[in-house]
Amino acid sequence: MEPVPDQSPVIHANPNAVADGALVRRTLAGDKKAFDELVIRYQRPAVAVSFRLLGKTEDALEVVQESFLKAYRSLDTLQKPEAFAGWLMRIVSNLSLNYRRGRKTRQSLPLDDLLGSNEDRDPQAGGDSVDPERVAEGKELGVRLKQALDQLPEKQKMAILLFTIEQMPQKQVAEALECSVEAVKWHVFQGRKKLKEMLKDVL
Amino acid sequence: MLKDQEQLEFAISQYLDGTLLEFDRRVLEDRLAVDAEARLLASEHAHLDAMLKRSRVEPAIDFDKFAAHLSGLIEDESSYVAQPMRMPGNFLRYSSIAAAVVLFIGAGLHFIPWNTLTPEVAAAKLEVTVQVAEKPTAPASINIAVGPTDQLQQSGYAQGVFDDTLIPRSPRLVISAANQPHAGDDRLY
Repeated sequence: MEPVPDQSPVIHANPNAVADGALVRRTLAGDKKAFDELVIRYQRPAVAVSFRLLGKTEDALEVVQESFLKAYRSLDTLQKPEAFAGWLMRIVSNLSLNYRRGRKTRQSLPLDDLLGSNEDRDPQAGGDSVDPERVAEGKELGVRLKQALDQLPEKQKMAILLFTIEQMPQKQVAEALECSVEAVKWHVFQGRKKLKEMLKDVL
Repeated sequence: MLKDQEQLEFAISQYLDGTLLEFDRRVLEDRLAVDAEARLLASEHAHLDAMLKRSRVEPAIDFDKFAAHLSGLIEDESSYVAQPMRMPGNFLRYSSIAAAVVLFIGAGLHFIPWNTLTPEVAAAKLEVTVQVAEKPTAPASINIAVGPTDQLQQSGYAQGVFDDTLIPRSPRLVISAANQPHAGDDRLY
C-alpha cells in the first residue's frame, strides 16, 4: 500500500501561476483583474464545499457569490495574503452554515444560465460523470455518507470535507478551521474513525 | 493496548494522507508487513478514504459564466469600495453625536427655572446720559504743542541737544487742522 502524497488543489498544478499572496496584494493596490484570477482559481472548490454543506446548487451559488463579495470587501483585513484560500473557505463554510440555519430562497442569480440540465443537477450524479454504475453507487453511498458526515462534529466534518474530499493542503485547511496543522490531522483522523464505525457494513 | 491501537490507527490515517514523517512511516510499514490486524485496519481506512474522495460533488454549472457574473459584481463593488467606505458610518456617528448635543442643550434649557428669576433683574434698565454736541460755529482748528512747557522755556533749560552743539531753538511744533490756511513759513519746527 503506497501512501498518497499530500495533494494541492488542481488550481495550484501550474508552477508558473502567480501566488495567491501576490494576487491579493495586487487587488489591494487596485488591480481588479487580480481578484478575478482568485475567483477563477477558487470558485470550484468554494461551490463544491458550499454545495456539500447546503445540498442545493442554487443555495451554494448564492452563498459563494456572497462569500467572494465579502472576501473582496474585507480583503484589507486579511493579515496573511498568502492564506487567502483558507480564509476564503472559512468565509464559505461560515456563510453556508449560517445560510443553512436560516435557509431561505432568493432569486438574485441568473441561475438558468449557470445551471446545466436537470440530470446534471443530481447531486449524487458526480458532476461530469455519466457512468451509470458510479451514479448508482453514488446514489446509495452518497446518501449514507451524507448522513454519516452530518453526524460528525463541525470541525471533524469540515476537516474531512476540505482535506480528504476537496483535497486542499493541510495548511489551507488549518487556516480555514483556525487551528494548527496537527489539529487538522487529528480532526481528520477522529472523523474517519467515526465514519468507519458508522459505515462499517459497506467498508 | 487501546492507546497503542489509537496510535496505530492515527499513524495509518496519516500514512494514507502522505503526511506521516519518514521515520514513523518506516516503523508503520514494518508493522504492516507482519501484523494482519494492522493491515485490515489500514485496508478499511483506505476503502473509506477512496469512498470519501469519490463522493466529491461539483454541481454542473457553467463556471465561466459564473466567474464572469462574479467579476461583474466585483466591478460594481469596486466603484462602491472606491468611495470612502467609512463615510456612512462616520456620518451616522457624527449625526448621532450632534443630535445628542442638541438634545442635551435643549433639555438643559427646558429645565432652567426661568420663572424664578427676579422681576427686577429681568426688567433692569440702563440709563445713559450723553452730552449733545454743540453746533459748530467756525471751522475746526487744533493746535498741538509738542515740547517743554512755556514755563520751562522761560527758565532757559529747554534746549535741544544736537551733536555736540547746543541749538537754542524752541522745540515746538504746531499742527494746523485740515482746510485751515497755513500761517507762517513751511519750515518744520
